[in-house]
Amino acid sequence: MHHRPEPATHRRIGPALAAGWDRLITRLCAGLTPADLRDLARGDPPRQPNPRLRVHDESFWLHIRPVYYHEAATRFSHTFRLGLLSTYLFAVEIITGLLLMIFYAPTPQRAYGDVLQLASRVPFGQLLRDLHRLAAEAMIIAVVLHMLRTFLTGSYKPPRQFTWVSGVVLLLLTLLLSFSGYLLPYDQLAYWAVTIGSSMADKIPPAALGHAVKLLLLGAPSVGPATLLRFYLLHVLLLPLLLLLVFFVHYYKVVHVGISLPASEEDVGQDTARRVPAARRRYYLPELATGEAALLAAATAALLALILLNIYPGAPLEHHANPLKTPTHTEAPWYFLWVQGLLKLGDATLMGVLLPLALVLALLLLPYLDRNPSRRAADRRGAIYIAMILSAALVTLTWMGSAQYGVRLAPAEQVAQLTLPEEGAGLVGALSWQDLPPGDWDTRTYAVSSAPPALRQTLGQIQQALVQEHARAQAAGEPGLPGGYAKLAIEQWQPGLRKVTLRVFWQDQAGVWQTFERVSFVAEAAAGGS
Amino acid sequence: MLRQSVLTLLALLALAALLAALAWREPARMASSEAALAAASLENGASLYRSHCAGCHGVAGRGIPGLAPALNHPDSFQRRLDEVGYPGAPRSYIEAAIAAGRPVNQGQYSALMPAWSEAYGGALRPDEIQDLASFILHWEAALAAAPAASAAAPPAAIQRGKAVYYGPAGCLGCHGEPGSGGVSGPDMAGIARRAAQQAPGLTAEQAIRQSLLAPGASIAAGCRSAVCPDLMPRDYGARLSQADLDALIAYLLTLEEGGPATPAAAAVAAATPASTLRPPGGDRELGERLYEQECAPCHGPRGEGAWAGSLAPVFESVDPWQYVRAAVEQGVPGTAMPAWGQRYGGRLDDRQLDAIAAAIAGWPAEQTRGQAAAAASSPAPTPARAGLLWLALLLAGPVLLAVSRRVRTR
Repeated sequence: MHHRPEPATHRRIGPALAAGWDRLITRLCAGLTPADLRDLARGDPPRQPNPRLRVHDESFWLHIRPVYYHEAATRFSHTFRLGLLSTYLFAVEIITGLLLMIFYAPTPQRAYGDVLQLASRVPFGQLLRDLHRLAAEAMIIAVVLHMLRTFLTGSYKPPRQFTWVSGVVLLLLTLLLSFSGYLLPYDQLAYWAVTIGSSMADKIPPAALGHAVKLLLLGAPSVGPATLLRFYLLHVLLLPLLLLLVFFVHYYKVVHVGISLPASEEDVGQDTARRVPAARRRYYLPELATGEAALLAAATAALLALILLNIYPGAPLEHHANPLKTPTHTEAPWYFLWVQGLLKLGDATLMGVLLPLALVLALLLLPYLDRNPSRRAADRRGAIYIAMILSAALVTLTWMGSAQYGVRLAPAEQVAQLTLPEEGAGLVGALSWQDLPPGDWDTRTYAVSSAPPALRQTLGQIQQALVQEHARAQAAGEPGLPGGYAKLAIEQWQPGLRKVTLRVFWQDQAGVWQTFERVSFVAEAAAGGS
Repeated sequence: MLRQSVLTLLALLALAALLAALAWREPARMASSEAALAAASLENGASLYRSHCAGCHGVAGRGIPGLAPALNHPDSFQRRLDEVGYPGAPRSYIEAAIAAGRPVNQGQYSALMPAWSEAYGGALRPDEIQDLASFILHWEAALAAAPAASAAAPPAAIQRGKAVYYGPAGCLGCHGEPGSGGVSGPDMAGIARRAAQQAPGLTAEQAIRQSLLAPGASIAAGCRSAVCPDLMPRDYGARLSQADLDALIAYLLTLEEGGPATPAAAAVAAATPASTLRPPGGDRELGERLYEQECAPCHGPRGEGAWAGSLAPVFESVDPWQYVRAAVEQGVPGTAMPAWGQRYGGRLDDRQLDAIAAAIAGWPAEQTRGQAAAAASSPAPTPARAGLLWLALLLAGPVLLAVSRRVRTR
C-alpha cells in the first residue's frame, strides 16, 4: 500500500462543526464573531475595524439604538430609564394581551365566564391576567413619572418641544388603553366604572355633541353588548396601533435630537447632546446593552414577585355585570379618581370635562408657553412650584374621588358593608369555616360568648363599628344608632353551605326598635383560611 | 464589565428558575381555583334561590303544597328524569326547566313555573341559571350522602300516605280496607307485588304512580271491565299534591297480602287521618294570639325580624297563606325554625296552623318591609369648602407663574 496525501477539503468532523457554529453565530449577531462576543462580555476593547459599529448598521433592532451616548445623559439618576421601562411594560402588555385574546370573546354572554375560566382552566391564565393588569398600572405610573422627570429637567424646551407633545399624546393613549381594557371582564366593577366614565362624554358641551360622542362610544344609550365590542376593538386594535405610531415618532425624535444632558453640563440656551466628545462617549455595546438587559430582567422579576408574593392583590373580579343593581360604591379606576374628585366639587361639565381638557391642553402647549430658556431649577422656581401644586392637587383630588371621602351610607348599612360587603370578603369572609359555627351570636356579649375566638373577635369588631358609626352620626347631628347592637345568625343551609344573616338593631327617636338585615351565603370551600 | 455581564446572566437565570417554580405549582393552583369557583357558584345559587325560588318551592326546597313541588327530594333528580323520559343529565334538565319554565302541570299547582331565562323574558342570565342548578344539585349530593334516610320512605310519609288513602283521596270508597277483598275496585293488599308485574319495564313504584295519574294506561290482567267497571277517577294528578302522591304510593307499597304486616305499616296503623291540601282560611284572631305567643319572640312583634328572619319573603310568594302554612307546619330544616305541626312532631293542630297562616297572610305586606325604608342611606354632605380651597390653589398656579415671570424679567 502506498501512502497518499490527504485532500485539502477532507477535514475531521469536530473542527468543521465548530467553524459552522462560528459562522452561524456571526450571522445571527450581525457580524460579531464569537471572539467579538467574548470581548464584549469581558469588556475588552474591540478589534479594528470596530465590528460593534457595523452591528448598528446590519441589525434592525440595533440600528434604532445610537452607537454611543453622552456619558452624562446615561447616568441613572438623570433619566431613571423611565422611557425604556414604559416601552418594556407596553411590550409586556402586547405579549400578555395577545395570549389573553385566545381565551376571550367580547360578548356579554361569554366575557365574564371566559375571565373566570382563565383562572381555573387555562394554565398560567390567572398569571397572564394579573401580569396584564399589573403591567398596565405600572405603565401608567412609569409614563407619568417619565413626564414628571422630563418636566423637572426642563427637557421639553427647544429643540425637544415636539418630543414632549408626542409624549403627552402617548400618556393620553396609555390612559385610554387602560380605561378601554377596564370594561372587558364585564363584572360589576367594570360595568359601573365605565358607565360613570362614559357619562362624562355626555357632559361635553354643546349637549348635542356630548350625546353624539357618548352614543358613538357606547353604541347604545347605556353600556351593553355594543359597548363591549367597541371597547374591545379600541383596546386590542385601534389604540395599540395609534400608540405604536406615536411611539415611533416619539422615539425617533429622542434619538434624532439626543437625550438632553443635565442642565449643569452646558450653558443656558445651549444644546450639546449631539456633540459628544470622544472621551465622554459611552458605547451602547456592550455596556448599556447589558445594563438594560439587567434592568429589564429585574423589572420582570419584580412584576412576577409582586404577584407571586401576593403584594399585588391580583386583577380584581367582582360579580357579573348587572345593569339592574347599582353597587353601593362605584369608584373610577385609581388613575381617574382625580376626575371623580373634581366631579364632587361642582358642575359636571366644568369639573368633569372642561377642567381636565384645559389641563391636557396646558400640557400639550407647555413647551410653547414656557419661554424661559433655562433648564436649571434655580431659574425655574415658578414652573416647579406650579408642577408641585398641580401634583399635590391631583393627589388630593384622587383621595377626594375615593369612596372614603364624601359618600357615607346610613350607619347600619355602613356596618353591614363592613361585615358582609356586596363584593369582596369583609369581616365574615375572613373567617374560616370552623369559626362560623351555626348559632345566634350577639355582639353585646362577644366578650363572654361561647363562640370560637376568631368569631368572638369579629363580633367585637362589629360592635366597635356600631359605636363608631353612632358617634360619627351624632357628630353630624343625626340620630345614629342609639342602643345599637347586632346579631350574626349562622345557619347550616346545605352540607358545606351556611347562611349568614347580619341584623343590626337600634332604637329610633320614638323608642321603637328598628332593624336592618343583610344576608350572605358562605360555602365551605370559599370560606377564608381554608 | 465582566461583573455586569455575569450579574445580568445570573438575573436571567433566576428569572428562569422563578418561572419553573411557577410552572410546578400551576396545576395545584388551577385545581384550587376551580374549587373556589364551584363554591362561589354555590353561594351565588343560594342567594338566587332565596330571592327567586323560595317563595314557591319553599325556603329549604321541600315544596309548598298547592304551589310548587319539592326540589330537595330524591325524586327531583334521576327519578323525575325517568318519569318524563328526559334523556340528558339532571343538570341540563334543571337548567332547561328554570330557563324555559314548565308550561304544563297536572293541575296540582295553582301557578305554572315561569320561564326565567332572560332569553325568554325572564330575569336570569345563563350563568345565574347555572349557579341555581349547582345549588339545587347540591341537595342531591346531600341526599345521596344520606341514603339510609331516603331509601325507605320514613314512617311519617307512610303515615301521611295512609291518611290520604283513608281521607281526601277517597280510595277507601272503592278499594276498601286493605285485605278485605275490595269493594268496587281491587283489594290493595299485595299491590306492590302485583304492580311490579303489571307493566314491563316499570318498577312497582312507577306502575302504581302510573295507575294513579293515568289509570287507563294499563289495567291489571285479572281485572275485567265487566266485573269491575273502570271507575278509577282521572284527576288524582290534580287533586293530590306531589308530597301526598308520594306518601300515598309509599303507603301502598307497604301493603302486603293479608293486610298491613310490615313494621312500618303497623306503626302507622293507629295513626290519625290528616288533611292534605287545605283551602285558605282560619281564625285570624286566634292566629294573632298564637303569633304573639309563639312567633313574636323570634320574628318580632310584626314579623319585621328579631333574631330570626323578617317575614317579608312571605309576601313575595304567589300564595302567602300556603307558604306560611307549610313553613310553620314543617319547619325549615337546618335553621332554628322548628316543625310546629303535630304531624311533624310539633304541638299545633290544623286549626291553629290555619289560624296562624290566616293571621300572617292577612297583614299588609308593607308592615314587614318597613325596615327597608329605615335603612335608606342619607345623602352625604358635599365637600364644598375643601373643594373651593383646592380650586383656589389651582387658580393660584397661573398667577404665581405670571408673578415669577415678571420678577425675572425685571
